Amino acid sequence: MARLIVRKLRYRGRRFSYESPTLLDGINILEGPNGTGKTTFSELLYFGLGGRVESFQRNAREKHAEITSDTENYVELEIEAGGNPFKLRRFIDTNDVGIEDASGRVEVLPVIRSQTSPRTFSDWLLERLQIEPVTVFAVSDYSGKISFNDLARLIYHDQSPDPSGIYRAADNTSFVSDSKAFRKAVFEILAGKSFQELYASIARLKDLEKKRVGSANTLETFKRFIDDVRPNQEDLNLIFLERRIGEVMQQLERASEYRKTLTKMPQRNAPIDTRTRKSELLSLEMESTKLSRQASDLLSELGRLERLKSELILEVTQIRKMIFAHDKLNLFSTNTCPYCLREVDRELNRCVCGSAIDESKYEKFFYDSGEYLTILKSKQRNVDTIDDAIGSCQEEMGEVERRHTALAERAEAIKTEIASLVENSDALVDISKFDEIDQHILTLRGDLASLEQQKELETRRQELEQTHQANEVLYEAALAQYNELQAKADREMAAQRQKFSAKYDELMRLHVQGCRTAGIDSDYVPILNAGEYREASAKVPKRLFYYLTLLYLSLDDPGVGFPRFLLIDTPETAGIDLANFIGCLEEVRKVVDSTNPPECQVILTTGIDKYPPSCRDRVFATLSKTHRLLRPRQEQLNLSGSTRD
Amino acid sequence: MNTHELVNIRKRIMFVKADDVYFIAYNLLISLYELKATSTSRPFRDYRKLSFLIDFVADPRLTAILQDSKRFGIPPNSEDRHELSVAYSRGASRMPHSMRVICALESRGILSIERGNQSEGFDLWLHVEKLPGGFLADELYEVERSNISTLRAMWPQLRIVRLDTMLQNFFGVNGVEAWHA
Repeated sequence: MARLIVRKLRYRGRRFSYESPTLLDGINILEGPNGTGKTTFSELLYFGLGGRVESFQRNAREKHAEITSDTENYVELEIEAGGNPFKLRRFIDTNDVGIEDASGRVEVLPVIRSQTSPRTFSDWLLERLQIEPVTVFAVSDYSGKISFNDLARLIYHDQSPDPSGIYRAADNTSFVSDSKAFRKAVFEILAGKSFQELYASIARLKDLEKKRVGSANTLETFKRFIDDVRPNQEDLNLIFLERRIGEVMQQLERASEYRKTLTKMPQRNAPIDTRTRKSELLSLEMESTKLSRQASDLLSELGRLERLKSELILEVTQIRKMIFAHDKLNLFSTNTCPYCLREVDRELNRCVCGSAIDESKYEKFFYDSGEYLTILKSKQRNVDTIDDAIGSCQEEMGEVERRHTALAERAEAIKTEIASLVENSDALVDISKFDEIDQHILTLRGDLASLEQQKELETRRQELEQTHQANEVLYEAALAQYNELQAKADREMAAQRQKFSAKYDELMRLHVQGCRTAGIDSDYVPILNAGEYREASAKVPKRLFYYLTLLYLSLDDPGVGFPRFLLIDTPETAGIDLANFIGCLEEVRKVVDSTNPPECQVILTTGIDKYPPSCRDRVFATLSKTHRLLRPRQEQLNLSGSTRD
Repeated sequence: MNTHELVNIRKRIMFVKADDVYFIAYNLLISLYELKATSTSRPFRDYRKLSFLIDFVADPRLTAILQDSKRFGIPPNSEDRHELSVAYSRGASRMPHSMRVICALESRGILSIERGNQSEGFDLWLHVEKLPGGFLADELYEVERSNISTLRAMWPQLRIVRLDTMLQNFFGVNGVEAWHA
């Protein structure tokens, strides 16, 4: 894997400043007595790499006096990551790191991940170091992304307040980041080769499992919903549903066609025929009414004529009776005296009174038989005339009646025809058939709507089934891959553990007198003498060699994740004598120098001369009470040259 | 056209059957005969009734109107009422002619006239023997005999009732106002 190399460390503030000389591959030692700034150096370096240093925070309980009192102060590191040089700058009390690459392009990334800034400085650095920032599941579903600062718990060997712990305390202690799973993951990523892949596959597996469970739940909920909504519905898949929909649509089409024929058959001609006939009937009836009136008039006329005739006949009869009475009684004549009513002998051309008259102009009240007969004949002629009139009237009446009868017959025929048409149309257009077919169509449409809805639900269900099936497949594949990787990782880790234990055992036994066996258990926790050895003197080598063995593994096999960089801050603590301590550091040197030129970098801060003599030339700065790491700006301007540069 | 033809035409035009003396005469004689007013003890009371009676005796249709009205109690229709009204007018206007005919018959001894006790008009009776034989029984007058018989059957007191009563029976009850006093 890629290496991390720190070439230079600078500190700049308004009051204090520091600039390291160029740091080399191999061991770089900063020596100095306590309280001169060795730890400050390590902390500045770690801070520059995105780490959290509590004492640099201005509100910290035990704050770093110079740094927290300084202003506009920042750390600048010149590093090489993955073979490329970068300049990193981070202001004190801020959480952003500015990255400047060789071409001068600057990118600023946050140290802390947030929703608004999902990419962090750690992501960038791990990318450079070819380490995947995998997600590690700590407890149940709680997970976290591995960061460089997590890995730095086995890269940065600080002055642990509890040296019995191997891992440096986490920057942000939480049940995730401090979980055993997390610690194991850190070790496995640094010591193993396929672990990044494994952890990536675990994350993917977890993700897929979540999706699988989610899709299973969704599917189950959906099925229950369908059961609730349509409890008695036939269980049909999409193919059967589409077939059923097709059938219903065909039925619907046939029903609609049938209805169309019902509508067309009777209604195209019938009303027109009826109208024509009705119109004819109307004109016939109007004609008939006219004829009836004419007949009525004729009848009245005939009545009058008949009455006149009978009156005339009566009169004729009566005139006969009058003639008979005249002949028998001879009551009055032109010779009857109008006063005494007796017969007188009257001279011709003389009146009864004796006056001369014209006999033909003689006005008299009485008629003789001849005159009565004349009147009778005249009356009889009148009767004949009336008979003629009656005859022609009757003839006319007959004609009218004949026409009327013809009209009535025609009207009757039309009525019969209309009745027949209406009856026939009724036979053709059976309303009940319309009702039936409409009901049928309605039912079919209802069925169709229901089936369409069912199809929609079924489509959704099938989609859910397919999604779930796909999730299952992906999950299974991921599980298989995980199992494979796990097996591979297990095998590899077993080998790495063995290798680690062998080197660790060698180092421990060389420098801890009571140590007979040393190794790591399945949780990568050091076990000395099968867990029975707990001497305080063993604490320093136990931890130091743990880090060193990891470096050793990376040098032995560059395929492992460890970035071949160690930062060791003043490891001497109570409980270890100087000779043994120097011996331990000698082991460090040996490991570092196992390759020539060295392919790793170790930065070590330690007390004055508290390092092997072979490392004297690796000291890049010596601090003292008067020559502290951070120097006031003015002083620094005056003093120079006490460093290796 | 000669003078004779002109006179004939004029006389023909002036002929009014209802007022003709022989028309009045034969109806009157048959009526009296059929009502049995043939003696001084059975006179026909009030000659004026005869003037109204003549049309009913001569015309069976008028008799039928009275007969129907009396039999069914239904007043005659407007046409029949009109006929009755005309009959009434003719009866009234015929009155002087009727009187003349009666006088002529009396002068020939065919009937007798007597001032009645109970009525304003004259009473009269027939001297059947003064009439030519077979005259009253001639079948020519069958209709008239039948009509007067019908009327007598309806009003048996027809011979002796007062003029007002007869007018009321013939016209008044049938909706024709009889204003004759």
